[in-house]
This record gives sequence, structure tokens and C-alpha cells, in this order.
Amino acid sequence: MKSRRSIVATAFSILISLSAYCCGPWVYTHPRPSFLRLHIDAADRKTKAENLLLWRSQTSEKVKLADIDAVIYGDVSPASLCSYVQDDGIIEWYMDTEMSDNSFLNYICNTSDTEAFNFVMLARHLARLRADRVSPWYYPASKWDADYGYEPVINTILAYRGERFYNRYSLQLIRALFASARYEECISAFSDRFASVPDDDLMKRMSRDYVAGAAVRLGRSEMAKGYFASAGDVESLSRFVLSDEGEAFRLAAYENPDSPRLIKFIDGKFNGGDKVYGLSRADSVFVKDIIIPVAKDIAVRKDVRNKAMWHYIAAIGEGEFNGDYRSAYRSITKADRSGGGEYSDNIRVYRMAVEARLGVRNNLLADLKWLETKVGDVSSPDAGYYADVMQNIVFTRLAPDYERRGNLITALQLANYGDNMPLGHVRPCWNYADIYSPRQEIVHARKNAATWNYHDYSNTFFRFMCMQSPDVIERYISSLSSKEPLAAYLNSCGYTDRDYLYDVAGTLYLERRDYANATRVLAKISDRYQPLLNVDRGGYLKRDPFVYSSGKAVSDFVAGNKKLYFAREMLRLEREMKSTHDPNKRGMDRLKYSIGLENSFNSAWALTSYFRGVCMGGVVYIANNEWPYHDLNASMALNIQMATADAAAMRRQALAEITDPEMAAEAHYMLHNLRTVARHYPDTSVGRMLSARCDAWSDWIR
Amino acid sequence: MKKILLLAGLVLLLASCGNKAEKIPFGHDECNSVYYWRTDFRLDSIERDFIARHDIGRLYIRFFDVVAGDSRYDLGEKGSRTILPNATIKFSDSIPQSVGHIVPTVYITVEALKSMRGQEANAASKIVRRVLNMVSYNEIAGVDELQLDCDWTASTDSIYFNLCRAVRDTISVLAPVPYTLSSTIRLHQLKKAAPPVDYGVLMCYNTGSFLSPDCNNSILDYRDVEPYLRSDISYPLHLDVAFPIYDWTLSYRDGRFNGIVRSDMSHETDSDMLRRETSDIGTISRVAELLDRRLERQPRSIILYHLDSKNIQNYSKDEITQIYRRDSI
Repeated sequence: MKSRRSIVATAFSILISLSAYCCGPWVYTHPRPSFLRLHIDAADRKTKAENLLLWRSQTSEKVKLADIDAVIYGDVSPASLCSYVQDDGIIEWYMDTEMSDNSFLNYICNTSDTEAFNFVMLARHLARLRADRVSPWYYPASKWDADYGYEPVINTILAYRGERFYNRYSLQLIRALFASARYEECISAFSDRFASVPDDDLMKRMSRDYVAGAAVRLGRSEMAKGYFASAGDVESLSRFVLSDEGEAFRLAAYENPDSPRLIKFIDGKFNGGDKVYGLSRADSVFVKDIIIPVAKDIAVRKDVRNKAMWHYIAAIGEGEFNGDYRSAYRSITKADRSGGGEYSDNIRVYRMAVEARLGVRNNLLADLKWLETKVGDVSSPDAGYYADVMQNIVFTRLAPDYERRGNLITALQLANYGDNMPLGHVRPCWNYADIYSPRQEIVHARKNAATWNYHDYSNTFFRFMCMQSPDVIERYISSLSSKEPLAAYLNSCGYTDRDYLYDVAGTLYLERRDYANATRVLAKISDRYQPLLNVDRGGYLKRDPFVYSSGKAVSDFVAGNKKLYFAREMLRLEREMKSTHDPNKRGMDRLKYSIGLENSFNSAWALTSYFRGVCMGGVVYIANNEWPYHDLNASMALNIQMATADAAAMRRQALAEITDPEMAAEAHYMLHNLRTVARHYPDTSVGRMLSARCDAWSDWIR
Repeated sequence: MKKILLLAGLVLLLASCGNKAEKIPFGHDECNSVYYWRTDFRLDSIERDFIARHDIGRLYIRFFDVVAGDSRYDLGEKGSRTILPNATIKFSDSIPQSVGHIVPTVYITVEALKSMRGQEANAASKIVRRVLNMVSYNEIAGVDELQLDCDWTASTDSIYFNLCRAVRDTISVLAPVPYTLSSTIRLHQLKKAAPPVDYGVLMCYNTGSFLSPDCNNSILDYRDVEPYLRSDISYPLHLDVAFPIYDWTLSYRDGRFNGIVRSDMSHETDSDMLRRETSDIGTISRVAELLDRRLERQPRSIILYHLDSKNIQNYSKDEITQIYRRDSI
């Protein structure tokens, strides 16, 4: 109960602190892109592309496909450019005075192609009619409209006697009959008009869905089942014909494993979940129990066109859903060997992910370099996806694995690479604070004190560094000149500013109270660097560590590198305490040292840390569920507690050591023990100074 | 006897209205009127008799509600929520020919109104087209008016007013005959600017909160009405007045509203608190007297809310007549 209370209290305090920010802070998570990227729009794209080509063949090869697209699928109407009237068989065309820049429209009007004009106008009218009727606002204006609203359209279609657009008119007829609930006629029209048309004819294929829908409404399940299965329409199969979704999927998958609609269904099962809560349990079970076995089975069938895709689906199911990476590796390797085809890039990505998990490293360098080309392809809309994939593989698979095996240097190199490789390209990035920061802005922040650096003091690489002992960071810095190919490549893409890295190492030494090494390392940092620290930008470094109980900012208590000043001063005090034989001097040094020690973890915390609380550089680390798995706040709290206790003990020891009244008075004055000075040391110079300055000296004596 | 005295006040109000034959600016005939608020238009013999006996000249029929809806059907503007028609009335019965005027009424929820912000013209087009189609599909004669009903407040008045303007513009283009546009006016809206419509119907019901277990009578309570009418009301629109004739029993559980108790429901549990609310004829009369003192005198139509044999049977013929009577002075 107590722990629950503390969780509630913590959550509350976090919420309170969050309210201080207008747009954040942001809870930290690694990218979780889906490894299954099926081409789910392929069906629509393929149909559309075929239709546009068919239009071109039926009109003019000089017409641009994009222009046909604008008329057939877009808002451009032929009536916007031309129209005609027919009187006693004589057709008279009226053209807009200005030519259109649409070559398709120009073709229709310039060639007076009434046949094409009429068809396009009819198809547009029918599309609008159907769209109106599916609107919840639709209400027929009359009973005739409700029952026979499509009648003029149907009559126009039936009146067409040409051959050129016969199949197109047939599709429109089937659509109109279906929309007006004349299902029997819809099926008959399909049988009559497409009987001698090859099955792969585009219009015939496009008509099948309506015929299947009509069959369902007439209760002809077997007929509908065949159409739905061949179309890969699992949803309709399971909704109207079969009650079991698994059975529907199997039927559709074995009937037409290359169906784009089936692929869309699979994608929905793998990727349909909520971003936060993920897939529903039912979908996860469906993937495990139904899709994976079917995918593995279909992938080895001879008559399947896209074997690689099915191996790829099986691999991701086995790896990401079953956690069986050995099987996933076998499947993805088969996918690779099957040629990959349109999925070759996706297959390579998932092979990388599985190899990262299994510790297979022989392709790693080449794969990372390839991935970088994908991230760097700024003209591609997929560049961001590949950056996410890279970070997921690096942060959730590769770097943790190297860390687990004790190779901290490579883990650091990878973490640096993961955070900073995308910045090496022009691609803008979402940084850890979820702020859309162009690369230039981050580069600017690294050089300009006026710009807050949201990137380098909150990212994974930084967190991982903060978890290490400082000597590891020093070894990492040394590795930056490594000639080993993987290390050299990773380093070349990382942020390797020596000031940044030495500052981290030096700060870690200060946190460990190793002032000698802190002095050595911090001395390597150039003078330009300190203003580029967020803690300096925030004013936290201005707090004088040697003023007792000082929580207030004291402007520039010392010029130059304040961390280095502090380290040197603490080191000097340490050495003097050891070397001096004068107990009073030793006591005074110890007192100052204790004040510095306590302050450096409390009011002047910026000397030993880069953040306070759960917010680092604008990013909140509430849960410790993301690699690197280390609760920096817990260790920070322990450090504060220990430093505070040690400082208190040292103060007591210091006061005991000091026997000289003048020094004792000064010591108590430093500790703000004014009453002690007044009572016990009134005749010292400090005592006299106090009595001269206080209004009611007697108040102190009482 | 007591009831008769109370009715006298109402009679005075209505009579005084009739005394001054001020010109109604939009050619609106005063007549006995009633709202029809169910989702299936079907009249039983009691209701038909009511219409005939009380010479109902105007029937306000709720055609549909407009609610905030599913984002699949947006208003065309990205990011805006959508509005949907809801609870559309079905005409299962013919409308008595004796009723001269039929007024399609559209109730708009506050959420729907908020969803229309910036899209009022689009919303108006949807509403008007649907109403006109419903009129023509159901072959309803005598329609030359549309009424909007919405509990708009200071934060939503601009949307509502824009909607009214857009509805008026659209209907003037699409309707086959000139249309009047009216709006319900709630008591709390009396002190605010008037919506840009031809006239208003002052709703003298739903004056309290039925959600509150402490409310005395949420249908009509003089104490709820009186604060809005402490001084003379000079409203820029002509106002007809609507009075309630319905009743209901409300259920509260653990101090919270639990629902309206249907007549066929079994008795409450021990923890339920029931409150029976009626449209008391005495209260109606007192409110009518108050309105008589506060509103500018002019002929008004009285509208009853709402036509239902269950409601009608709670009143004698004379009581209904007294509410309606405008010529008794």
C-alpha cells in the first residue's frame, strides 16, 4: 500500500512538474516501426494504372496518364472545357476559348470524341449519384427517385451500341443495378455481358465485387464465396458467407495467394493495433495460429508468384509474435533467397533485425552502410521510416547485445551512431523532445549558447554514457581513432566533439568525487564549451558551491570553466587536509570541503549532473522500460543522500578540530551559526562585526 | 373553483394579446398549434380528435435531430467534426388536411452546433436539402416554414446565428415557395441578441434541470421562470409561446439521475428515488400571467408541447381550450 501511495505521489509530482511546460516534456521511447511493410495499396494502384493505360489505348497514346487520372479519378470534368448539342443528327461542339492544359480533355474536345465525352460524363454522374446515396444526409426527393433514381443512367447505358466502351458501360451498368438493389439483374448483366470476355479483363475484374455483393443479398452463398475468395476479400467472406474468420482467410489465401486485398487483410492483422496499446489479443492469436502456418505453407507452393513475400510474412510472425528468432532467421533467409522482388529492402531490414537479435555480425557493417543510404535518401518518403528502423535495431537489439556481452565501447559507438547518424544527412528529424528540429538547428545549438540543445543532453547515447564509469568514457574517446572498419564507420557517423565527451567524463568523475581525474579530464576542454551546456544556459552553473546553504544563483562566482574550478579547489583542499599539521587549518579546509561536497549534489548540482528530477533536456524518463536499463534517478538520489550525510559528518569533524576562537567564530559564521558566535565568540573579530551590525544584539544572546 | 380562477389569468393574457391587433411583420397567422415530437408520425383517434376539436392550424413536426457524429463523414474541412441527422421521423400516417400549416422542425444539439463552426453554410445546405426532400418525398402539403431548435448560449450564439443566416439564404434559393424561418427561444436566451429569423417561439417548458434530484419540477416551475421575467422584455422578434402538456416520472439512484421511468416499467428498487413531474395547469396559468405583464402585447399563437394521446388525456377539453383561447375577453 505504501508503495502504491508513493507511486501515486510520484506520478502526481511528475504531473505537477509537467504542467510547467507548454509543450512537454515528452516521455521517452525508442521508435517502434513495423517490420512488416506490405504493399497494401498495390490493389488500388494496380487497378488504377491498368485503367489509365486502357484509357490511353482507347483514346490517344499522346495523352498523358496524369491528365487521364485528373479526369477519371479527379475533379476535372470534360464539361469544363467543351460541350456539344445534337440537332437532327448534327453535332455542334462548343469549346472554351482557352485551351486546357489537360491533354486528355484537349483530345476529347479537339477530336469531338462524343463517345468518350458521353461515357466520362455518365460515369461521373453515376459516381456522384452513388456517393450521394451512401451519405447519411441522403433522403430521396420522391418515391421515383428512391426506386428509380438510377433508371435514366441504366437506360443510357443500355442504349449504347458501340464496341469501344462496351465493357466500360457494362461495369457502369452493374454498378447502377447493384446500387438500385436490382441484384438479380446485376448478376444477369454480368453473365450476359462478360460471358465471352477473358477473366483477366479489367472491367470484368472490377465488376466481380458487385456481383459477389449481389449474390450475398440474394442468399447465394456459394456463388458469393467463390467471388470473394478469388478477390482475397476475407472480410466479406467471414461477414457474409463463413462465420469463421480463420476459415475465410485460409480459403482466400489458398484460392488466390497473390491477391492484393488479401495482403491488405494480413497487414491489418499485423499492424492494425493502436500505437500505444498495440494489437488486440485476438489479432495476435490470429497471426500466431492462422497466418504463420498458412504463410509457411503457401511460401513453398510452386504456383505462388510472390514466395518471398510469404516467407517474409512468416518470418515476422515467428520473430515478433512467437519470439522464435531461429525460425524467423530461417524464413527470412528463404525470403532473401527467393529473390525478394518488390520486398527485397524490407526483407533485408528484417534480416538485420533478426541477426542483431541472434548475434550474427558478419553482415553488420555492410547492412548499416546500406541503411544509411536509405536514411540519406531525402527524396524518398521512406527516409524517416528507415531512420526509425535503424534506431530500433541499434537501440533495442544491437547495442544492448554488445553491452550484455561486455563490449561497452562498441555499445557506446552504436548508441552514438543511432542518435547521430540521421543528423549527418539533410533529413530533418524528430528529436527526443519530439520537437521537429531541422538538422541545422541541432548543429546550431552545438555552436550557439543562445539555443537550447534538445538533442545531446537527453538522447540514448548520452543516457548510456551517464551510466558508465568515467574511465570507460575515456577509453571510448580513445577508440575514436580506431582503424577497425566497424568502429571507424560508427565513429564517422557519431557526434565526436571532444569537449562534449570530456565534459561527460569529467562530470562523472566529479559525481564520483574523484577530483584528481576530474581535474585532469576537465582541463582538456576548451574555453568555448561551457556556455554550450544546457545547465549553463539554464543558469544552474552560477551557483557558488562553497557558500553554505546557498540555493540562490550567484553570478559568475568564478570566471572560466566552473566545473574545472570546483574540481581543482576540492583537489587542493583534499591535498591540504592531508599535508597540513595545523588542526585549525585542517578543520577550516575540511569545513570548506564539506560545504563544496554537499552543495555539488544539492544547490550546485549542475557540477555533478546534467539534470535534476526525471526531466532531461526536455524529455521525461518516467519508466525504465527502454534501453539502457538503468535508473539514473535512483543512483542520483543515492549520491545526494551519501554526499549530504558525508558532508554533515565532515562538518562535525571540522568544528571539533578547530580550537582557535577566531577560526572557530569564522567557521560558525560560515555555517550561519550566528547565535553560537554571539554566545561563545563575542570577542572575536567576527563577533564584534556581528554586534556592530545587528540592531538587537541581545536577541542573539538570549 | 380554484382551477377556474387560475385559468382566468391565462385567459387575461391571451385576451389582452387579442386586444391590440398589432401588425405581425411576417404575415404569421395566429392559430392553435402543437408540436409533434415522436419519431413515427402516426395519429390515433384521440390525437386526430384533438386536432379537429381544437382547430389546430399549425403543426410543428420534428423532422430529425442534428447531432455531432462520426468523423468518417466530415463537413469538408479537415480537422472539423462532423454532423449527422439522427432519429429521422417516419411518416406512417397521413397528416390531417384540416391542419393548414406544417412546420418542419429540426432540433440541433449543442455538440453538433459546435461542430459546425466555420462550416455553417455547408451544414445549412445539408439541413435544408434534407428537409425539402422529406417534404417532397412524403408529399406534405402546406409547408412554408422551417423551425430550428437549439439551446445556444453566449459561447455558441455566433455559430447559431451564422447557421440561421445560411439556412435562410439556402432555403430562399432551393425551396419552391417562400419560406419563413423561425427559432425556439429559451428563457435564458431572452436577454441575449435575437437570432436572425422571422419569429421565435418562447419555450415555457424544460425550465429546470431534470438531472438534479433537488429540482422541484423540471418541466415547468414558476420559481424557475420568474427570475427571467422580473422586468419587461422588449424582444426584437415576434414571439409565440409554447407551453407543456406532458408529464413524466424521473428516477434517481444514489443522488444521480437514473432515467425516465416508462409506464410499463416495474417498480423502483429501494434505493431509487422517483419524482413525478406534470405540466400543472395552474402553473401554466401563472406563467401566462407573468408573460402577459412582461412581454409586449400582440397577438400570439399558443403551441402545446407535445401531441400525444397520453398527454392529452390528462386534461379536460376545457382546460386545453382555456390554454389556447385568444378571444375570450
